[in-house]
Amino acid sequence: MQTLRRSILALLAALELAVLLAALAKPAWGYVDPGSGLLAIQVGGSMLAGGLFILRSKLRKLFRMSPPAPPATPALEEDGHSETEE
Amino acid sequence: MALAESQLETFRDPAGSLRIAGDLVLRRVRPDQAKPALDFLQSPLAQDWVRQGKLIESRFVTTPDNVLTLEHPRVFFPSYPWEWTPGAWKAAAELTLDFCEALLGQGLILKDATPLNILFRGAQPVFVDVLSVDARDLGSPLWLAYAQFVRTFLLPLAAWKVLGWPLSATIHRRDGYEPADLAPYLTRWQRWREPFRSLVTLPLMLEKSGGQSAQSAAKVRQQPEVALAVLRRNLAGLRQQLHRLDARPGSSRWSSYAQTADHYGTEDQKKKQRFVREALAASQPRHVLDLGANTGVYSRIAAESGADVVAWDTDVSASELNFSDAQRLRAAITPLMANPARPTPAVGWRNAESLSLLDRARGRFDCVMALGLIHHLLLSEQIPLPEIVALLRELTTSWAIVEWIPAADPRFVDLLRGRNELYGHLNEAAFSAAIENHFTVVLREALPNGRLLFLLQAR
Repeated sequence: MQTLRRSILALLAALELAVLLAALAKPAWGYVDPGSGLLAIQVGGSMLAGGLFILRSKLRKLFRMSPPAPPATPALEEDGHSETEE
Repeated sequence: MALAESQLETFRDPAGSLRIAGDLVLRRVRPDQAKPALDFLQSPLAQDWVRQGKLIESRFVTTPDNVLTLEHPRVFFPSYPWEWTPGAWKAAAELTLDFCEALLGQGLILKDATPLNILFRGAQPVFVDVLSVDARDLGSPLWLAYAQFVRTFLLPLAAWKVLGWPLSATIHRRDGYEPADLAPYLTRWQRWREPFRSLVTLPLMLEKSGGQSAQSAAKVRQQPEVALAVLRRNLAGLRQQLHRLDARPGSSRWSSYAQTADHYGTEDQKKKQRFVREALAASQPRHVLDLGANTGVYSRIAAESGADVVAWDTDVSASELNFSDAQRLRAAITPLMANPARPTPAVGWRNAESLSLLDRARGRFDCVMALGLIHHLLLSEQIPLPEIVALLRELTTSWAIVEWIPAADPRFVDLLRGRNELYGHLNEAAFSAAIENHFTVVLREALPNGRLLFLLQAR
């Protein structure tokens, strides 16, 4: 009887240890794409910015305001020279 | 672009490869992979950028095997990011963002964003990898090279600015740092403050929770005008991060050397500068290598004489001052963090993707200057005098302008640290004996402080 009790206790202890080790096991990060977090940030930021852009356009339309001039890209004249060229 | 004859033909870009042929660089192109880039090269925008010196010149040539080939001029002295000063990193990053922004309006975009796309002419960055230009998906607000820009530009600059990691350490990371590389070294406070919050902490958390795959990101669609506005906003955000990392290195024991060198009286300095001017006038070099250039006092004298100058020094603060002056004055000086006693090694696949410092320098310069340097190589680096002279000869095809510091000089004595038996005998006669197989003396001048200046002609 004593031996059986000891065996059951030992089995339970081993089981507890296995559960504990499984709970503490760290997942392997070796194959995580290191760019995926930065991509997720860009996706989230882009969706938010896109939403705000559309909302702003709708508000402008509602109040009949003209949109601001687009950000500067080198404006090229017909001969290919930039207007800002020194 | 940064190739020499012994280097591998590049192989990482599916759109083409690059090899060197004398003073030309030939880029073989796969038209099916590179049509947007080829169309771009003929556009007014490309011509405008070439005219401003911000994009490498390209010419279509026919080759015997009928492979579409672009011919570029060879940038005189190619350098790698691990040899750049912080200011040069920033200039390269700005140019990458400027170029990407300019392309957006043409329905194009950069498909990669790494400092290896940039070389320097003087202190001005030039975008050289013309096949990085690609057609833009007009409905996508994402820049797929965003993460690469963060890894290869922003994280190295952030690690340098906040953690003090030298930028030269990037030689070990072809594609930059990952957020996980920096995270263990940040305090809790740093992790949740910008720039690390959005460059390290949040991306790392998102990576661990599964992140975002490129396939699912491709499904993010917006109206073309919205996508364009969002892309511009993303680029502006990266530029803002870059400006946050804008920091000048603090002063160092070498950065104010020219002003504080008490062993040089005003008369000594005047005479030394006059001698260097005379030596340059007599030798008329076109390409000068200034070893131990410090803040570039003598590099600027050489540039004023009409030479293209490459200036090597090991001190980041002094080199940064040299770079910012050269950039502001648009002088033909390329300041690099480089040490002749421990030259940058060749790196990459089979040690043949990036050339060593000396492989790039041999045969390229017709004059080498070593002013106030030889006693450091002798006493601090413990390089024997004949070895130093042999290296000088290796680095110049014609001329050398050299300062010899006698053993009685107070700075020589400082560095000697009791090793008189080894170095105390090094007088002018020892110097003359060391140079006689390699150089002949053309000019010699003794300064009032006892130091000697020589113009040497290679035998």
